[in-house]
Amino acid sequence: MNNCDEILELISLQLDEALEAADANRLTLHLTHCPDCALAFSELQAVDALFHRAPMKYAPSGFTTRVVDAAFADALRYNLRLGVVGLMVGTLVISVILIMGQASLVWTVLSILFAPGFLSSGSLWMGEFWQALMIGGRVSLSVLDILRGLLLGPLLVPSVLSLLCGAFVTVLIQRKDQQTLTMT
Amino acid sequence: MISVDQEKAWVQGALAGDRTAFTSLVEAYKNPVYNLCYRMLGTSTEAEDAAQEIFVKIYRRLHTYDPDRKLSSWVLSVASHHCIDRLRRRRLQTVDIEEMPEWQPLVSDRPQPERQLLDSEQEARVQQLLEYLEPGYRVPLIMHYWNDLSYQEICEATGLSLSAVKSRLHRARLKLAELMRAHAPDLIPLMAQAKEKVEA
Ligand SMILES: [Zn+2]
Repeated sequence: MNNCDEILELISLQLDEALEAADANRLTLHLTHCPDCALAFSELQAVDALFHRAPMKYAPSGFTTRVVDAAFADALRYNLRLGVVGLMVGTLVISVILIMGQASLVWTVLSILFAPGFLSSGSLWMGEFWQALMIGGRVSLSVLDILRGLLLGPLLVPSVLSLLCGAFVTVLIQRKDQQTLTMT
Repeated sequence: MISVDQEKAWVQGALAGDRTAFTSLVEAYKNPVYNLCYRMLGTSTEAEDAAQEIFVKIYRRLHTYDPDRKLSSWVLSVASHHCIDRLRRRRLQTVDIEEMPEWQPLVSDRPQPERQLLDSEQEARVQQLLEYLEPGYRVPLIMHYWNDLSYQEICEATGLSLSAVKSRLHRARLKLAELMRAHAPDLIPLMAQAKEKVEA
């Protein structure tokens, strides 16, 4: 079963010194009476020699410093983004909880916003200006009412705690990044 | 030679934000990574950009590194995947042999003295030959010739099976021999000599 394709594969293994003795003998024997494979062997040997002699390309000077700077700057941005996203998600969750607790006030605001003539009026005529101002005032009052409800309501403690936690996390992230930066 | 313990210490230090530790890691792997990028991408500008991106990626993904794995395999695996992605983005497809452009003529025909390494002209043509291989065949070849990785280590770095690594190396060499025979028989005098010997 000394077909030439199989012999070719043995040649590659031989070049990498990964050929077992029995196969090596089979290869040598085949090469002595098969000129095609002998030619292929010399060519592959030449390729192998050429690539073994090709030099290593070296990184330019200053490469390490530039790379480490870039990696740490990237990590800083990444940590900050992570911190901000974390804070936003946390705030969103807490807001949802708070707003659910104040559903009736939200309903008041929504009913004013969607009252006829408020959002539906494309442009305001002078006569309607005062009316709009009045409605705006009522919305502002309702928002203030919600805020008052949130601050004085039973969710005051968790909301303050969440703010403190957020601030603490931010400070932690910044301190860690400053540490890594001052090590430069 | 870098010890495994030393590499583990670098990884742990870098994970804790230690700049010195990560600097040592970059210092140890900058040339293998840069050479891989250069051999894959073909220009020093692109090689430097890619090598930098690779180390940024390595620093960002350091927490995913499995300490039971060889650090060199992991680093080279990140590097080769990055280069292949870059080539894909560049849409630089390998050229058919038929479409291969004319080789640049040699500057002179002066006899070449025996030397250990190739001169810059030969070196440029080695690079040219390399770029005609498909990226998936180029990676194992580069790891074999420049990074001195064993078959097993190439498997680890590329995710290929042992038989796939052997066959890709072999087919890459066959293709290179074919390219050289057709387009650069002068590249190595050794080749012409060997041929004469066989024909005699
Ligand atoms: Zn044969």
